[in-house]
Amino acid sequence: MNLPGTGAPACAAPRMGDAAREVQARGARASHVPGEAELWILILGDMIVFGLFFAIWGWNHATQPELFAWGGAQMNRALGLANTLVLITSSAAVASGLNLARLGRSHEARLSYAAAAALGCTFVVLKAIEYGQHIAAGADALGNSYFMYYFVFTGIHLLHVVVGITALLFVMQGCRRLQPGAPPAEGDVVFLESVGVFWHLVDLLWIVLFFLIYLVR
Amino acid sequence: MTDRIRSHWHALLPVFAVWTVLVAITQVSVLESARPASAYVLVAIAGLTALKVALVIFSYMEVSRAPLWLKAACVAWITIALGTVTVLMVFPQWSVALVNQGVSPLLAAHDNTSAEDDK
Repeated sequence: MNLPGTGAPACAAPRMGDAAREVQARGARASHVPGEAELWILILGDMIVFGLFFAIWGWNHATQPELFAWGGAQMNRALGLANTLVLITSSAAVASGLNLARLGRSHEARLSYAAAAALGCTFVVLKAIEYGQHIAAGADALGNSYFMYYFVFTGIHLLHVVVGITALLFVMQGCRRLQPGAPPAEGDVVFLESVGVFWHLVDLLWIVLFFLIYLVR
Repeated sequence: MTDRIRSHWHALLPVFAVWTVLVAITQVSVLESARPASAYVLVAIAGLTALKVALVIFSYMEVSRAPLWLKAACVAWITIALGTVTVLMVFPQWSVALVNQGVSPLLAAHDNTSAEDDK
């Protein structure tokens, strides 16, 4: 069995220079769908659904400007910004983890994924604090259309975060099985890419939600 | 050891560079949103948001190396999703009037059909 893209025997322990060249070869490969191709049906479907959510938010913003101006003023922008920075950093950790795994640095990759999962948990905690603040102030999903859409859209996003954290925990377990110093098998890379793509989806959806909920006045 | 450091550097530098740009754009967006509300500010923040989303998709998701159909789908999503929201927020009355103009004939047709069914 040969390592994909190199023609080198899998039993030969590759040097780090070989691994780096392997990464470059994979990176330079044309028309490579990241992760499982079928996963993109879910990813693009999710993007379309959230696109509709964003349009619904924009429509209600256009038809009820006073309510949405009032709702925007109730938002804790510091927590929103903190959550954005947390998710951006966790995305960077996942991208680093993938690149390190491709280099055969399984231990460092595992640490990167652990950092990403910890940051995901931080997001959940910060969101719970924010929900608690709104509920303590008497705002709930049944109060008015602003808070209904706020809780529904951010709640569905939060569900994605929890699913993503679970997937990252599986990746951390998977990294234990990778052979240190050797580039992972093609199937392992596809799995890592798939989880990465999902986690970055969670990040980019939050970036738009942050714009709509916390930045627009 | 040098080779190892070099390979780490090559693998992690682009990730760190994108992270730095994403954090910088986020800070600029927050500063922009603190200015008095105007159409210019809204369009500027929407543009910065689109830039961040594009960076995540094309860099972290590695869509820049994906087939053309996937790149096109992602660009279409960014344009339609953020474009729709921005138009709705910058031109609310125009957007509502436009939608009502399109929906009114449909509602009228529906009412006529319902009335005929009742007969």
